[in-house]
Amino acid sequence: MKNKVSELMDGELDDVDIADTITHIKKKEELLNDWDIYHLIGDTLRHSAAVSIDIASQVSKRLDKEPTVLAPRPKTEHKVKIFAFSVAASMVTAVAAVVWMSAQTTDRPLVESITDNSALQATVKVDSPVISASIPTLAQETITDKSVPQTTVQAEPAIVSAPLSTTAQINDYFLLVHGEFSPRAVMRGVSPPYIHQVAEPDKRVAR
Amino acid sequence: MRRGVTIVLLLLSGLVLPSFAQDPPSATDEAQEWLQRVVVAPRQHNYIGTFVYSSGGHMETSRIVHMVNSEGESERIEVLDGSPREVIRNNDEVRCYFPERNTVVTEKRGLRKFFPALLPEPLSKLNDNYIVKKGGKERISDRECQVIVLESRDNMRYSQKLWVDISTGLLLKAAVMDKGQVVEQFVFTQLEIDGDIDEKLLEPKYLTKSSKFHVTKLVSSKMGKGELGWQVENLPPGFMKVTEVKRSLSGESTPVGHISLSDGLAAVSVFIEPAEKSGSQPIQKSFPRQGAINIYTRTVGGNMVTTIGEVPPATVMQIGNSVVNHKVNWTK
Repeated sequence: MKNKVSELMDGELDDVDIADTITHIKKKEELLNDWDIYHLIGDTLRHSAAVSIDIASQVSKRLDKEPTVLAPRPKTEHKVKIFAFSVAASMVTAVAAVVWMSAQTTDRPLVESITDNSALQATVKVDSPVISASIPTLAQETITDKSVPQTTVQAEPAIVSAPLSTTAQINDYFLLVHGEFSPRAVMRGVSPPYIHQVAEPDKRVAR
Repeated sequence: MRRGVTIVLLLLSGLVLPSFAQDPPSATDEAQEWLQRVVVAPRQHNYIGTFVYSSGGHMETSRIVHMVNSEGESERIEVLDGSPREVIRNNDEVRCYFPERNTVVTEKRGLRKFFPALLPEPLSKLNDNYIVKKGGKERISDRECQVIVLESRDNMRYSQKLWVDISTGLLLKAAVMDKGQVVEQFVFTQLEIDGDIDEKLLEPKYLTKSSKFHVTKLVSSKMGKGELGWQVENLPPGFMKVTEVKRSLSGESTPVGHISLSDGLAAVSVFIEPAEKSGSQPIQKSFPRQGAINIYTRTVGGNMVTTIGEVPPATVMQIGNSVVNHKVNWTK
């Protein structure tokens, strides 16, 4: 029956078998568990890392450390546009900056920047050459930018999201397996990261 | 007279210099004996303690309970910081609990080892790539330790420094070094050796009757030489292939190829999996180091090759870049 569950998951059963297998799964808790486990494993093996291992945690750690510039959202209904900019810094570190700003109200922009020397990649979207030219400075000096009303902290803080590179992904399960040969991999300060990426356990199992 | 002295000195230096240029000395027998003690100590002693893992700015504390009796070794390690994790080990059967995800990963015949049992076996292969040296004496966790240095013979691997408890041989501190800089380290901050151990302390904390865990079994099928169809052609000096397996987790139809390599101390794993169809452009990417572990990913044909190891980035890349395929339908 376990094979059937697996085949069902892979879409390899015909209609009769599907109905039959589902009935079995409903009846037997063990099979239901298998179903969940297969999905857990499948998720792990397949999309491993929309957010790959270390990058996500590093970014969030960095974000925690970054001084947050809180600015009020514009009251008028200006569209908040997201400008993401990646500065390949030839001199010091690679600076990836995500710039949030209100396009029209330049006197009260909503600005956030994060810097990270990891392989953080951000998409570049620039509307006008003027803004394009000003971004590198903006990215590095946002905190001191006088046009930002830094002191006003209001009910709605700005939230920063960092677009991450999803081009290269790691199957996180590998780290766990590698731990078989390296005494360090499991207890090395991050739980096998793949665990973080697997979907939340199903409620049916947790009941 | 002075000229005579100079000539004698020159002659002497001529005699002395070549001896420096020769191969570095191999392990002294004494240093080697210390390593052997580190390997057997966990099989001979009970201990309860707290150790700290640190790398870069990251630090994490764990508690360990280790008991030896006629049935062998039992161990429980609980990570006290961050997301809860717990390892229960009975000889070579290992279960890792991740309570936040209701997941337990099990291994029946796991080779998995945990601090302070960090050294591989056999130790003999270590000498080719590391110079084993006896250092000074230092105090760790209120105990007198002998320092042993495993100095890498080239820059393809990291050096290691071990602090060995003089009276029991237990490893109380271990550091991975990159040119004098600590890359990561484990150290006991508190330790009690050879006391009686309450067996209750070895019971899993998170496995309760009300909780249900997903079980993930790590299984693999051993392959004969070359059977996998993948090979690492340009191995860095000193590295050898340890195993070649095809791993498939139950329920997953596509297997993952896994070649493991070792230089006698440091391990490197090469994983091969069919790449997802979307985004077929070639990828080459190194990931930020995690402690001593470096990761490098690259596509080969329609496959993703991921190399993971506690070796410098250049070594991981060299290995990853020399992975070749001899078999088109290797997943079959």
